[in-house]
Formats: sequence, C-alpha cells, structure tokens
Amino acid sequence: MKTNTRRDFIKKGAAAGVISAVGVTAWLKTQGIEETGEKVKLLTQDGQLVEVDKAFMKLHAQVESEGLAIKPAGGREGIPGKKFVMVVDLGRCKNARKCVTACQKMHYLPEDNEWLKVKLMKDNEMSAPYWFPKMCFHCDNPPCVKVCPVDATFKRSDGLVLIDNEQCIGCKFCMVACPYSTRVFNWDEPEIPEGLPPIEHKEYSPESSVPRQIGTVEKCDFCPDMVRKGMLPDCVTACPNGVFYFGDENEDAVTNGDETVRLSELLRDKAGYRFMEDLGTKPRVYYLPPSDRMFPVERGFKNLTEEQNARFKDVDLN
Amino acid sequence: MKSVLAVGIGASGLEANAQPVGKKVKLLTSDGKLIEMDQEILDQKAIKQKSTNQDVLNWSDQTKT
Repeated sequence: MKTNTRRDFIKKGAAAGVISAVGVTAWLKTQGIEETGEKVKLLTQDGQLVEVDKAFMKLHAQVESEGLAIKPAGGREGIPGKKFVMVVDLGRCKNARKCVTACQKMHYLPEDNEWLKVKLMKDNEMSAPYWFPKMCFHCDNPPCVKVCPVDATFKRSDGLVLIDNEQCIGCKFCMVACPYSTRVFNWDEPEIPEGLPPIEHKEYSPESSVPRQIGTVEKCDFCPDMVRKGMLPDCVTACPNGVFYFGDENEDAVTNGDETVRLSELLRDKAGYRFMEDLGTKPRVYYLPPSDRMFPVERGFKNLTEEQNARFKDVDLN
Repeated sequence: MKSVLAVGIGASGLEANAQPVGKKVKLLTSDGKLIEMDQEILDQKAIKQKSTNQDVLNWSDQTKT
C-alpha cells in the first residue's frame, strides 16, 4: 500500500505552486504583458492596500472595457442596479451653450441639430426671464414608448428611454406623443461634421446612437455609452457653471463634476420640481428654480449667431 | 526527476491556453475607479501591506492636489 509521506506532500505542493505561478506568468506572456516595475496602490474590499504593477492595471482596464463594451443586442438592457436621474440648476445657467456643442460633438450632429436646447423662459409678465436647458426627460411613464408601433423606442431598467434607429420606421408618432418636443427627425443623410474624427465603432448601437440614420427619430440619450464606462454625460462635464447634476437615484447621489450631493437633499432644500408635472409622465429630469441667479439673463445673448438670437426675439426681457 | 518533468509538462500545457479563469476581485484605485482583477494575479503578483487607517487616508489623498 502506498502512503503519502511528508516528503511527497511537500514535493506535490511545490510542483502545484510552480505550475500555478508559471500559469499566470505564461498567461500574462500570451497577453503581451510585461511588468514595467512601476507600482500602483489599490484598495482591496477588506480595506488593505496592495501594490500591483501598472502593466496589470492596463490589462484589467482593457478587460473591463471589453466586458462593458457596447453590444448591439445589449443596448436594450439597462445597467443593472442603476436608476439614472438628472437635476438642472436653472440659477446657474447663462446660456453658455457648451452643453449643446458638447452634445453635438459627442453624437456627430450638425450645428442645426440640437438634442439639447437652451430655451429662454418667462413664466408670466411680472417675472424675469431665465435660461432653461431642455433635453429628453427619460420619463418613467413615457408616452413616446407607448405609441411606437415597432418597439423602436423603449424604456430600460436603468431609467433611460432610448431609440433603436435600426428598427425605427420614421413614422414620427413618438414626436407627436412627446409633450416636451424633445425629439428630432433626421431628414438628411448623416455626414460627419467638419473637425470631428471618424466614428470609431462602425457597428450601430442604441447606446451610442451613431452612426446616425436617415429617416429616423433621434433625441438625447443621456450618453449611456459614457455612463457605462463610469463617466458623466458630455453635457454635464462641458458645462462651465455646474448646471447639470447627473447620478443614480438608487444611490441617492448626483454630481455636476465638481460637487457630489445627495439627490433627496438637493431636491428638498432647493425645491426641485419636474417640468409639467401635471402630465403624469414622471420625468427623470428635475429642475431647481432659477432663484439667486448667478448671471444676468442678458449675458446669454453674447456670442450667439443671428439665427440663434432670432429664437428669442419674442421674449420680453423686462 | 519525475517531479521536475511533470512540472515542465504541466507548464508547457498551460502555456498553450493558460488563462486565469478563477475568481475575480474588485479593487479601488486612488482616483475612485473600481477595477476587477483575477484573484490569482493578485495573490502572486501583488505586494500586500498591512495598512493603517492613516495609510488608507494618505492613499486616497494622492490624487487630490
């Protein structure tokens, strides 16, 4: 009868260890990863710091981005556990239009196509006008989704309302149903606007909304491809005045890039409201009233084109 | 000798389609990004330190300038 001696046990253990170590090294080699010697400190879940080679960080960043890459089929599934929400602080907006241009750049839109519009609002004759950025409100009770005859526009578990342009037949029912007029129709064959690099991924996804498609309806999508990577939508980061807060209702936290605040406290303390609440569409965009405005409304007319200026000619500034 | 051969054969076998497919662990970078790493790589390639609260605070302050 063969019995395991202590020597056998140590031998086997050492062999297994070497195989395991060689396995990781070999795998790293097959991935073309060579240790750089530059160490990065990371925090483990049990609160300990570990130092790993920076080369492994790159590797895992790639793995992460591959794992989370936009997949055409995956565009209809929300990001698990999330419920995205936006808060717009009207007291901070001066119509700098950085949000508009950033959105256009992100989605390869021409200048005359705005998914995010900055309106000039005046509630009544006595009150002063104020700037009002308006995008898709990603309603929890979206009329646009209900009327789509081909299921091209849909509501996801993470709160986003998106459009699958490959399925859209361009009937415009959703445009009529949307009480906020946030949807636009793409009449022209899309071209990449001057100065923008070619589109990196040729495969269309409802999450990136590019390449755009003629004869279909488009709108603000809250940049889910950015959000998936843990980044903020472009309009949020582009705003120089911190007008837009974006975050997760489940985490009760929103950020404008500079400060992170509790969503519930922000809405409670600053009397947040939803545009045309009485319609019952339950928008996922909240507004903070334009009190204590940081800028005089006239500042917003600077650097506007003639066409843009003409949009506001009917509003009495006094 | 047999053991050495066995290790050699084992290693060459792993070379062909070696891949750590085991458990993944989540780690936080000092700039707040959550990354995933194979437990095996972490076990074998990371330098572990016993960290005090102060060490963790200093680490989290790295990116704040």
